Amino acid sequence: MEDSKIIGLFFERSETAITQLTEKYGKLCKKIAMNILKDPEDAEEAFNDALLGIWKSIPPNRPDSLIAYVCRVVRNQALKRYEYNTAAKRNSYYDTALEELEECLSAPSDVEKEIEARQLEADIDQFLGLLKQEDRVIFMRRYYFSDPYTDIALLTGMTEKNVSVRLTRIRSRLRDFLKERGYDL
Amino acid sequence: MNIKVFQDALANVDDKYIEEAAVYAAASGESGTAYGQSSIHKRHPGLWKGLVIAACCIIAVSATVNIASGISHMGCGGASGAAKDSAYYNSFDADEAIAETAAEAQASGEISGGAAPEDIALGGNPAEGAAAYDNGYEIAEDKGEIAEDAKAIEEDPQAAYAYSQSAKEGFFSWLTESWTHILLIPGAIAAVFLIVFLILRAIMLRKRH
Repeated sequence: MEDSKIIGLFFERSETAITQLTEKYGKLCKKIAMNILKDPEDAEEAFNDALLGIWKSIPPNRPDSLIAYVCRVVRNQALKRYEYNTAAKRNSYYDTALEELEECLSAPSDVEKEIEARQLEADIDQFLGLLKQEDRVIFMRRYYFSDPYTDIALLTGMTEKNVSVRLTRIRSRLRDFLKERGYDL
Repeated sequence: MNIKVFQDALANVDDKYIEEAAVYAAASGESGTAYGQSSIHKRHPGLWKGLVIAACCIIAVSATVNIASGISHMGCGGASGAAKDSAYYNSFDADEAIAETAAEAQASGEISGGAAPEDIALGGNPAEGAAAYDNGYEIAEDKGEIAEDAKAIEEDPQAAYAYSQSAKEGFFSWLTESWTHILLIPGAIAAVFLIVFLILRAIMLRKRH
């Protein structure tokens, strides 16, 4: 079913919307949650929470891109659960992915400002716009969807080594890009 | 800037980039349509590699067979197909020379018999023609009008195959018979190198995992 029709079902408050959404994007959403949480039960719960969140937010929201909207909600739910879970223990897998990025970003955290955060969002968008499509997908799959190298390699038809090298170069470009814009790295 | 700030900013990245990355996953069985490379490449990343290896194998085998054929030209007594052709053509020339010599010899009374020149040239059935031909052959031979390779055919057709063309000449005559033969050699070497490279790479990757 087309996304616009699924959104229409949400506006009609039809429960078929949930069924259709799950059928179309369920696998992708559960993968995102699973990548972050590394626990099937937690991932399932995060997905269900996300579905509830989507049910409550559409309407009034009418997303231009349903898939992006759903991914965002699922990711946020998974991250919330992750933060809750990791209050006591660390999930080494997800931390590893973030630590890779931290190498090019690490700096004291007490200088953060709201303006900088907004500017950073715009700059990240700009940076992504400068990348080739394949590099952008690799970057997003790794740092937004938290995909392991194996899955990215399968997705792009590259070897894991290639994916790793490509990500290293992208991170290096990101560091240079952010430095040029005066970020304290 | 710390990672949390970056993570928050990344969380608010433009929808189009999220959608692009999400839809890219389609080929791996998640949803939507794939961008970029063909879906068959994503579903079967090893397929194209397999096809390339298969093509290389075919080229390598074909090239090896052809080169072996070329080498066999060197091997069978050193006589190439070109050498054989050359000997046969020379034998026709020799026939003409013999016929001419025999006719001249007849005219001058050097040899007897009333064989017609065409009978002499055939060297065949009419007894007189055969006799005249033999005589003509001897005279032509004495005069050095019969090429060595043609002489070999006349005396022993089997031995003609072993006519004294060197192995090197045999191979080069095969090589220059067609431009495809020249291309086969670098093609075969490249194909063999590629196959060896891919096999070694596969072994290295397997070891690494």
